[in-house]
Parts: sequence; structure tokens; C-alpha cells
Amino acid sequence: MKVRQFAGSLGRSLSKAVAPMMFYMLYLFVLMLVSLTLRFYGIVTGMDLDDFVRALKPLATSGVLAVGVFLGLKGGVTALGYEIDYIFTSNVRPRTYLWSDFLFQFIFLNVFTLPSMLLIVTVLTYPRHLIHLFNFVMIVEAAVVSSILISHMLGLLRNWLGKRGVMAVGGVMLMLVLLPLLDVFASLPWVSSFPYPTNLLLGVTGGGLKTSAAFLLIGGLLAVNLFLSRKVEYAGLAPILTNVFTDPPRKLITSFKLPQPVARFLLINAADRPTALLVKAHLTRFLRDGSLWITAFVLLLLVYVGTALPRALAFTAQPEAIFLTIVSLYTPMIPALLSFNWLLTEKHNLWLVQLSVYRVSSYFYTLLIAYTIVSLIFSSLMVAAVQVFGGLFALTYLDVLLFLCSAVFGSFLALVISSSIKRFSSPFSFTSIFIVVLPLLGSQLLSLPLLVSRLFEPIATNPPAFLPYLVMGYVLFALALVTYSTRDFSIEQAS
Amino acid sequence: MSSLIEAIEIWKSFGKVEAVRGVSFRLEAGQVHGLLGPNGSGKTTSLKCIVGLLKPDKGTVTIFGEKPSANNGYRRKLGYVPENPSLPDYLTVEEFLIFSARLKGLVGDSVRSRVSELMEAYALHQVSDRLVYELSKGVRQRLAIAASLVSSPTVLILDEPFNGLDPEAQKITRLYINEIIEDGGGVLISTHLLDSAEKICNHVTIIVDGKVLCSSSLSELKSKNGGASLEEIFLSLIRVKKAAN
Repeated sequence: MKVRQFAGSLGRSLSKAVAPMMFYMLYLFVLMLVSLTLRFYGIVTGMDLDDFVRALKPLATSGVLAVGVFLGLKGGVTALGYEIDYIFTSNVRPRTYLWSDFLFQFIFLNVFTLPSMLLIVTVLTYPRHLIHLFNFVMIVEAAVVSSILISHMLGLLRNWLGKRGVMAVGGVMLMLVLLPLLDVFASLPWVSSFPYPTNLLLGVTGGGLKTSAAFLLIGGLLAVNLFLSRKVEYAGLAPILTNVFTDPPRKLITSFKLPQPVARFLLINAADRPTALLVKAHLTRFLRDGSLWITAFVLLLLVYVGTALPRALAFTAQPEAIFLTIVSLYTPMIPALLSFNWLLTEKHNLWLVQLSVYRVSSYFYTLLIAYTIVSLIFSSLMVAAVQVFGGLFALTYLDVLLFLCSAVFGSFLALVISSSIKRFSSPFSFTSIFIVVLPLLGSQLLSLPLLVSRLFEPIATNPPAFLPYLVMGYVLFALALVTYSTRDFSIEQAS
Repeated sequence: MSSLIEAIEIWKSFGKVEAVRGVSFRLEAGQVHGLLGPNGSGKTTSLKCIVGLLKPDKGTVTIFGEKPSANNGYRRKLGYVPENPSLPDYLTVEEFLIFSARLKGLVGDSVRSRVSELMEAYALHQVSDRLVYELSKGVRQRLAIAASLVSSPTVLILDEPFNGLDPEAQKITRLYINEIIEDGGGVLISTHLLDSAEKICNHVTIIVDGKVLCSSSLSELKSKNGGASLEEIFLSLIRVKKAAN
């Protein structure tokens, strides 16, 4: 039933089944292109691609485990509102429910991890891929199972340790599972031999003691889960109700206080001009419904992983260029994730604007401004962090334009996609992938002229005289087009 | 003098389901007009078509003599409370009322004074700093009604306004309704709570299966039915309709 509630709509019509399938194929296609690019880069630079696979293993394993810890901190068990109303009050035993959630998460995580991992490894190592594939399947499966067990364990631990205790345990676990990334940045030789979860799971196909240690870890997690769930009642579960990107605002507003000038700036008051009023309302929502903080967290993790991989592979010719490129590539994810939350928490409030003296297009225009502001702030903070922690380097005009374009294009696409979705009932649906990934891909496509110029070293540092004019012309044209397109934005609220 | 609201032969379908099938009625100045009907009869859809949240497939709606699509100036004079109103959870009570006032085009000191008055009237001042998210269903409903009144509307449209509303808040709402009527405005209320409708309304339209079954003043309807209560009249009309089907 849990699988059906997320994928059940696929069987209703051919289009409902074909569209997500096409999108899934597109997702795999993009991964294949990225892998091919890396392979060609490896051939050109004479790099051993087996090294890449070796570097990918701990990062992938840690990534899957980190998802488990993250979900665990949020409650560990996925559920929709009606499950609480009808299943939690039925005679279905909590353990049975936990088991069904385990199977659901197992299917869901596998759909997104296993085919993509196998594809990457095959493209990178063909025709020697078969040697790696079995190894990868075992490692991914061990990581997926452990990830779910960790997520359930942290959820159940709330009954014993309370939320603060779980946050502390989860925090330590998160640091442990992310050790390979620390190793990549800080070169810690002891990490590869340290018996932390990722290392133990990597030994699953190692044979002998290594395999035993991996199974011991999984068995240990299972035993802890069985122990914790032996007397659990539904009242003791705190399921992830809507989605992992939204927190109840009450907790956030009481635990997080904005600096006074920011709070004063965002305060909605009677003297605000219409545009300022709506932009402030959007920014207040981002801050108070938790979407911004969770988005920033996910994004920081992605940027961290993204910059760790090139370092792990010694792509060190232009480390700041790689970093800046990654920041600009991931920046569109901010409006994408924010628009995801807009669909969940704000779209149904549109009636207020539809019955106001303002036009609905004004609302969307101000939403575009708010998305762009947040995206640019994020890019600037990331660049500032690199300047402070990674040493100063000169920003080129291309960097600045790239950030601006990524933010505006990503915001625009997120707006177009989210406002065109009529019904969005489940955050775990396939539609969610459209909302998050399309702005990312579209923005990269629109920023391609800038990205190409930035990545070619001689062009970036010693541009031909006509290039700045050409690039500026392109950016101004694209921005004008975006602004013009939002003029007549409208929406008819579905009944 | 033209009607405040005039709906002529409005039709609205959702896929194959015809929710509204040629509904017509008028809201005149001084009327508290009850739109009555059983669940799923098309009341809410009719109201959404009237305020402009839904576009009718056929038929016309005029508000203050103009089509809603012609300009949006009418919205300043229109207050609306949907059924189970969805409100911005991330704003505090006071912020939401100020936001609502600004959305209706109010500026300056009038915003503060009107917001204070409504917070006092609906006992919202005790929760003025609380997020909408934190409010109980009843308090949310009070807030939604207060927000609909913030621009001192000429026409107030309420969809099942008394759901979860305590008697004190119901009384306050009736006072504000009287104020609107005294100022020459009109109120349109959709409800299936016939007791409340009988207390407030002076005109009723009964909708069944997306069609108007009858529309007249309450006193006229009662005198035609030998002084029976609204509930008795309503139930007998439904019985006759069912028998005819």
C-alpha cells in the first residue's frame, strides 16, 4: 500500500506512466553523459578510471548513509496524514507498519541509487565493468539497508532519548558517515583504516573478516531496531509527515531568531509598497516554514560532495574554477526546492492574491525576485567561504555573470514549472523530480555559453575583446526575456 | 439601481461532473442572502464562480454592474471567506491582518486602526503574536472572517462561515453583517446550517444538484408554506425534488 500511494497514479493512464518513465530515462541519460565526459577527461589526462571507481565507492556509500541519518533526524518513518488517521488507529501492529515502511524505503532508495550507480560504473569501466558491478550492487544494497535501519533506529530512539538526544546521536553519526569527505579535503590517512560505518560496509565483498564485519554492522543495526521496536506504540512514532524539506514553523521561530536589522527589514507593515510587501511575505515564508534552512543544508552537502569528488580524483588544475562552477550549477536547486515547498504550503493561499487589488502576475514577479535574492545570497556566501577558507582568488566577470544567470534562470524555470502543476498531492511523487531537476537542467542549458567560456582557461583569464560584449548581450537579452515572460503570468485555481 | 451581484445561467463542470447547471440569482443591497443546499449541491462552486476564483463554462456574473474580468477594482469592496479557509501559516495573526488589508489596497493609519478594531472584536489581540499555524480551527475561522472584513466591504461572501465558530464570534459576525446591510451593502452566505440561516438571512436561494430549486425572500417563502420553519420547508422541497427524479 505504501508503494501504491506514491506510484499508484501511474497505472491510471498511459500518459501518467509514460511521462515519469521518460523523465527517469532522462535522469539516467544525464548521468551517462556526465560519466562519458569523465571518461573522456580520464583518457585525455591519462588517469586510471579504476581510481575513480575506488573514489566513488566511499562517497556513494556515505551519501546513502547520510540520507538515512537525515531522515532519522526528521522522524525516520515516512507517512502521509491519512496513514496517521486510519492506520495508526487501526489494529495493524506498529511493527508491521515499520516493516512495510522498511520495504517502501528499500524500493524507493533502490530506484534512485542502484541503476544510476551501475550505469556510472559501466560507462566508466566498460569493458571491465563486470568486475566492478557485483561489488557495487552488494555495497549499494548494504548501504541502502543500513541507511533505512539507521533512519528507523533514530526515529525509535526518540522514545528513549527525546528529540535532543536523537539530534546529538544523529549529529555524531552524520559526522562519522561523512568522514570520507573530510578525508578528501583534509587528507587524513587514518580514515581509510578507521572502522566507521562506510568502511565496514565497503568490505561486504572483501571476504573473510571484512565481510563478517559488514554483516555484523547490519545485524547490529537490525538487533537494535528489533529491541527498540519491541514495545513501540504508534504514539511513540514521529513520522515524516509532509516532506523532509519543511519543518513546523513554530519550532523554527522559537529556536531561531533573526538578527534585529533583518527582522525589522522583513517586518510586514502598513507603509510597504506593493512589491516590497509581497517580496517580504515570500522571504518571511522561506525563513519561517524552514524551507530555506533545509534547502541550504541539502545544497551545502551537495556542493561539499561535488567539490570533494574532483579533489579525490586530483582534478586540481583549477580548483576554484571547479568550485565556482559547481556552486553556479547547484544554485538553481535553491529556487527549485523553494518552489517545491511553495506547491506544498503556499499555492493553496493564492486565493488571497486572486481576490486582492493586485494582479496575480505581480505576485509571481515578486516570487521571482525573492527566489533570485535568496539564490544570489547563497552563491555569494559560498564564494565568500571559499575566499576565506580556501585562499583568495580573483573573481572574473564571467563568474559574476554565471552566478547571476544561474540564479535568475533557475528561479524563472522553478516558477514556470511549479505554477503549471495543477495537482501536487505527494512530496514523494514522481512530479517532485520534475520540480527539482528541470530548473537545474534548464538553467544549465541556458547558462551554457557562460559555462563553456568559464571552463576554457585561456578564454576565462584572457578573453578576446569581443567576448565581454557578446556575453553581456546574451545575458541582458535572456534577462529581458525572463522579465517579459513573467508579465502575464496567471493561474486559475483548481477547485 | 443595479444589483450588487447578478449571476445569470452559470454552468461549471469538472471533467464529466456538472457541478453547477444554470444557476441564476441576484444579491440586492440590504439583502442577507442565504445560498442553501445539501452537500455537493454546487454552492461552493457557484460562490467561486461569483468571486472570480473559477471561470464559469457558460453564463455571466456581474459584481457592482461589471464583469469581474473587466477590472479588479471591485475586489476592494468584496470580502470573502472560503470554506475551510487556507491561510498563510507563516505569518502572525497581526501580520496576516495587515497583509490582508494591504492586499485590499488599504494604506496608512487606516490599516492599523481597522486591524486593531477587528482584533479586539474577535478576541484576537491575545494571540496577535502567534503564528497562524499555531491557531486552533475556531480561532483560524475567526481570523479568516476578521480578514474578510478588514476593508469594510460592501459585499461580503461567506462559505460555511459558522463551521467551528463559537457563539460569541457568531454574534460578532452577525453585528458586522448588520453594519454592512445598514451601509447599503449585501451579504451572501452559503450554509447547510438552516437554524443559523433562518436567524440571519432575509432572502434564500435553495440549490439542489447544481440547479436553483427556489429563490425568494424568507418571509414570502414562509408565508407560502404556512409559517413552517426553514428546515421543514427545505426538507419538504428536497423530498418533492427526489420524488420528481
